[in-house]
Amino acid sequence: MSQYRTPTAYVLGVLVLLAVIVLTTPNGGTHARWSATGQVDVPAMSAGRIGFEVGGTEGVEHSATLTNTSGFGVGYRPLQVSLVDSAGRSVAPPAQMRFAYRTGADCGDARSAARWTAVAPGASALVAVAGESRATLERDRPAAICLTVSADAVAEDALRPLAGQVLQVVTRLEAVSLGDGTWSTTRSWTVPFTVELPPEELPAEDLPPEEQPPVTAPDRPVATEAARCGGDHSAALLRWSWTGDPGAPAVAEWQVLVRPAGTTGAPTPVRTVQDGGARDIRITATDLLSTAHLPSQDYEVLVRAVLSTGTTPHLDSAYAWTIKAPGKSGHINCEGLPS
Amino acid sequence: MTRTPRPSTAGRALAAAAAALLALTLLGNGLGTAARWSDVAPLETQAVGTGSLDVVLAPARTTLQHTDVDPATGAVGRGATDLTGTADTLAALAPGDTVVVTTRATLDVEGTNLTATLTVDPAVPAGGTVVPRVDLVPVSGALPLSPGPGPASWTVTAAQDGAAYDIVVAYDVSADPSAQGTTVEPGPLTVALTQN
Repeated sequence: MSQYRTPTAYVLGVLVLLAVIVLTTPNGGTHARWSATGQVDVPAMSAGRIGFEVGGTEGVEHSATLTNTSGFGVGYRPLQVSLVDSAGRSVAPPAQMRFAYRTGADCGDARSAARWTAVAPGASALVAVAGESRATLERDRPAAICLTVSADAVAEDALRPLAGQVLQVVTRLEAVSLGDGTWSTTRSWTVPFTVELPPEELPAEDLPPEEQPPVTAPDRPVATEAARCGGDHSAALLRWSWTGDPGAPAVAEWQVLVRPAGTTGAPTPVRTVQDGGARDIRITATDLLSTAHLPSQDYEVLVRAVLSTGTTPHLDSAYAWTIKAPGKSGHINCEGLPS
Repeated sequence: MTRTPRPSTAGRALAAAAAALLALTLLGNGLGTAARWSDVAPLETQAVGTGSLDVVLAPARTTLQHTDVDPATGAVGRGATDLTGTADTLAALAPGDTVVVTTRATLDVEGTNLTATLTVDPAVPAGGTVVPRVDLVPVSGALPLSPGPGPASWTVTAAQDGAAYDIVVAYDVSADPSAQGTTVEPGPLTVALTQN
């Protein structure tokens, strides 16, 4: 064993020598460093919260006052509009119902250009308001917004189910921060709107001479027989005649309209046949129950020729048929003769 | 036969001491020389002085850049409001608003082979009310600084000794809607110069 002690000691000695050399050689860095600092105070910063309020405007119908509660300026615009009835149910605005929004000094001036407009496509509960532009709403300076609803371009038939109802027009307004527009919030604004039908057309023979339809206007359709109810009382068959006239407008479709017996209101369409050559049509108790005339049981019925062209849009027969639909039995009874 | 009387013990000790004294005396005079040669040569040395490392900040300016409606015209525009010296909380800030704090830093970097790192700490937490941006603008022909090892840091050498830079820290109000209604109280904006 002793013969190995000398080499081992020699190696250990070399290693110790190398370690001393490495540890004592300067590496270019310093372990103690100089440093200096300076400081500047920065104020505390508090972010606001976007918001606005919608209030009524006294004495101005269909107008609201918007008040900015954000503490900074915002831009706003109406996003969409919808209708609800008195029971709170959603009502699809009829096609071509128009909504026009004005702001500021233009409020109440129906001749001024609307800031935003929306036109109902029909069969859709929500109507998008066109345009991406926004009006500004300053801090501490309220602004006025007005709404005009027009049903002038709506087909009379589409308006009739809503006639006389007081609907609520609900507009969803959106406010967006001015800077980057990344903060936004919405509010609802509701105004009442009563659907009014245009004056009912008088029968041609009741019109004054200057308003008589042209001589080319065809005759009114005429019921040819009493309504026929089958043995199971599930439907009634109505027949009529139509003479038309050479050169007169063609019939685009036939409609059956009903109203409660003994009333004078506008009738409600219950069936439509898009075949100008049709001369009969079947209606069921379900058709009658689908009208807004519940709980009526007795109905007066007429048939309408909807013309494709010409100055007279349609021609109605007299209330030629009387039909009874007792309760919700689903049965239908035919009564009386064509008048 | 006559025997020579032997010296006494005391006599022998005395004789030994005298011999030793004689030997020491002789030996002491024999070591070294009484006259020596000598010479002196002066070593040429240079004066040694320490360097310096410092940063001096000028008083800061604070401005608010804000988008708002001009009450006179109704037009939307961007303006700046000087808020230097205000200690109040800046309230109701909106996305797009920016609070800009500017200070001028003058560097003192003197020393052979001396390098350092200039670091700016906006002192606000990440993901909060505001998002900081740090910029460094050379003043009066100062050389641009090369980026340092970390964010908002630059490498400084002795070549920048005496140079001045505007340190611009922009605090952008967060676009995140969750930042609404929140408040941030930043610590002091700190500019540090540390030797590498």
